[in-house]
Amino acid sequence: MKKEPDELQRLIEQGSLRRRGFLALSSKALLAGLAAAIIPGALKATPASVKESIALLTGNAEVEKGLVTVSMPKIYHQPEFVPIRITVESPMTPDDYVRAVHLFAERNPEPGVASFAFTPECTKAEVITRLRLVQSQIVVAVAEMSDGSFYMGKGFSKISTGAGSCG
Amino acid sequence: MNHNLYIKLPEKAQQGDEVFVRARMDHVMESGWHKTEEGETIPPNRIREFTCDYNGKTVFKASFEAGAAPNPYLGFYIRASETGSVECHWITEEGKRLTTSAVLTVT
Repeated sequence: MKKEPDELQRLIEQGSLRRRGFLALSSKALLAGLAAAIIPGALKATPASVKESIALLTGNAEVEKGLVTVSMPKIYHQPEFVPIRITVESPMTPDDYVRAVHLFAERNPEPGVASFAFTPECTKAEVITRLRLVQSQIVVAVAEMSDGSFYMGKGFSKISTGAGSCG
Repeated sequence: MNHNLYIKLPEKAQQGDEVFVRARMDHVMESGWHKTEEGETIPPNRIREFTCDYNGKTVFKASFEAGAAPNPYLGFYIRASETGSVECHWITEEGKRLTTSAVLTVT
């Protein structure tokens, strides 16, 4: 059987293509708009506020490390469209499955990104999506298991914008 | 505003197979962080919820908050059980429900 190309890789490459098109079209006004778009207002999330959000979510239950893998590009040049893949190790049977995955960004104006609810009808607890990151930061994924336990995993992406996008 | 909806999945699958479903929508997903040139905050306007139904049964759900990217994209896996439609519902800020569907043939 032909192996499907990796979906996350495909999204990352698609982003590179989009950037090429964007540079060709870009005008001064558009660039100024984009710069304004990524400067956050007075709001500011911190690692502490993410911890608070997680405590609120879990009802102060203990969150263990492990089982959750967060894959993101190490360096990315489009803060508005950062691809991310979250995988949770689980057999996904009616007795033992992942009920939900919640995603938080530590240094965005607001920590919340998205929540995903799974059922045993899903063959694996994996989801691919895109998120906004206003700067280089850690992204935290918290998985809620069917037995009520919580697990978490972290991912990091460096956001590089500018002429060369090298660093 | 015209919201285009996209759904992509294999046409055929064998029973018990893993099916990768991709859903996307054209939407600005305004976060509420942006400001106009006059300094006024642009109010949030985003897709609140996403639901995927397979044969009338909800198999996957997602809810979006401020950090979600524009043109929301989701890729997830479902188990092929019988021939039927895979319906994706997107619920907008105003509570409007936008639906797109595809047929999965199970052999």
